[in-house]
Amino acid sequence: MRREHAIGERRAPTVIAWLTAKQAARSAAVWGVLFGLLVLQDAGSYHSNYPTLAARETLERNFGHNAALNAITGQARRLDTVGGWVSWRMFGLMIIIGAIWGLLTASRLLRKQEDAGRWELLLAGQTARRQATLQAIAGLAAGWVVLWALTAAFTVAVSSRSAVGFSTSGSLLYATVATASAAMFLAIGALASQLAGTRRQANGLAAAILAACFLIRMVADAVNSLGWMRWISPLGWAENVHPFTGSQPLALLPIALLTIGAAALAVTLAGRRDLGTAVLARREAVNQTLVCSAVPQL
Amino acid sequence: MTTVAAIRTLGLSKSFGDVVALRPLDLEVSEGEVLGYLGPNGAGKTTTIRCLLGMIRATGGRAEIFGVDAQRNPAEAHRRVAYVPGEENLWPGLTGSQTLHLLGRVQGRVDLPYQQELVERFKLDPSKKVRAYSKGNRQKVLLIAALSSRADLLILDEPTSGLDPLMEEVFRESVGEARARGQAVFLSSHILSEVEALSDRVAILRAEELVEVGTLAEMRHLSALSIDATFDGAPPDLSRIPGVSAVDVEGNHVGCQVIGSVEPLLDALVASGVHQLLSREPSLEELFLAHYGRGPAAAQDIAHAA
Repeated sequence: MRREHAIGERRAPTVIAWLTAKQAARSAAVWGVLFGLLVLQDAGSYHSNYPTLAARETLERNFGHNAALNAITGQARRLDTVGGWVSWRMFGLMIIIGAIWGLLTASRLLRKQEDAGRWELLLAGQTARRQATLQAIAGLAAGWVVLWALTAAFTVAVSSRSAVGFSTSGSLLYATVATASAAMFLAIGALASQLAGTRRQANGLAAAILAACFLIRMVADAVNSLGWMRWISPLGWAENVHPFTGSQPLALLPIALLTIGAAALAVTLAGRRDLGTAVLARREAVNQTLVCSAVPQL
Repeated sequence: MTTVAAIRTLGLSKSFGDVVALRPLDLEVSEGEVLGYLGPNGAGKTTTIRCLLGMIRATGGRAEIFGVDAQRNPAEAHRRVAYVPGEENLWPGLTGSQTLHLLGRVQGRVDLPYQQELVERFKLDPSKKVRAYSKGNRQKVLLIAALSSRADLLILDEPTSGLDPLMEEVFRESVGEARARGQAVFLSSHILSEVEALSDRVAILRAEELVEVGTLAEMRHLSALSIDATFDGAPPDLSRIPGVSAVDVEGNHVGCQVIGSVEPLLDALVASGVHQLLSREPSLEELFLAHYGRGPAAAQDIAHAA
């Protein structure tokens, strides 16, 4: 039929992935540039602030083994090197910001769309609940890539300065660690969006997980004998990579597994639950639906 | 080639836990047919549509769209469907034309010249942001997006709830055009005049259950006749006459409905000196009352629809 042709039919549209990617990339770009600028500033000023070996050793002595400080900022290692310094200074901050960005972005682009009734419009296209969620998660992944790429670009740019002297692979690993929590909490936020019935509840659930991860990491970094606990907190995994100071890329493995596992579970659960309902507190969600649709009862 | 029904459901049902949302439903919509799906709010109209679109899992039965199992394979079933949901939820930050573009991509097909024509006919300003739109304008965006897809099946859930009468007229014209082109329309509504004006057949849903399907002519045959009588003197008591209901006395004027034979009523009227008599086919509104009775909720619903 010519008519059909003129109308222009597309097969299996990926519009949900694009829409989600566009929205996620917008905020990812802001944070990516900010992360990059922080690295640029901090690595760039290290040598002028601590020009002598003695100054750097003092730095290491004063801050390198301070348990109370480590509990807040994360474990310090080799503060007498610029790599150790930017890792310690930045990771504590970036990992928390990244995780919060991740969980808020995931719930905004999944649960909030559903709460607001826009998910229903998207589901009416040539897709189904499971595929639509998979697409949205692919869009979130694209947002993470933007965050990572900008952080990496700035880190590689600063590494070319002779005084800094990061290796390119070290710089890329640094960007990966700085944004690892963002990846994990995008996935956890996507999972929470299936479990909880509203965006608020999804945020609360994901934030509670983040708080637990942070507390475990705090204890691990504050008490030397409990250092092993770093391995039971996803935030601790990120710390264990040490991109510039004895890198352990294997520590990225549990991060990748958690991210992929949570995302896969979110997709599966989305396929199994009805539009507008939650896996947890199912009854409550149902009651809400009924109240909304059953106003003049006969 | 035998024609495949646009919609066919077999025992389609849905419960949320112990709460029944839809009792087993058998329904068929042919190609090129407009089916009015009429029922009060909460009767299960939206549940039916969400099952039809595979957005919620049916508890039992089947739903097919052009022969494709809509529960098992919604992505495939949606290829020939355009949907207007009951709530006009859009992206507040997008403009009207950005929204139409996005919904066109969701739909997968757009007839752009027709879309342009619809924008003009519905008098939509597509340059404004959605957050600045009234309810009626958001409704127009959704209608234009669905109609301009020229999908073989339009599923419309309360599509005119925010439109003014002028725009409702435009909507009716466009649905007429769609039908003339052979598109099927599933029109869920509690607005009786709309269903009356547009539908080939009507399905009436009450308390999660299909109570009646048929053409308007068939429905009238099944239901009451409306009688208005004016008397010279005081009107007689008509409420005891067999088949008569909904008696409404106002001075020397009486309105009532009669089901079945009119003979006993006519005898009574003649005996009491009737001065003027008007009988007419009941409107869909009255059909509705015959089904649901004159409960306060029903009256409220009708008032809301009017």
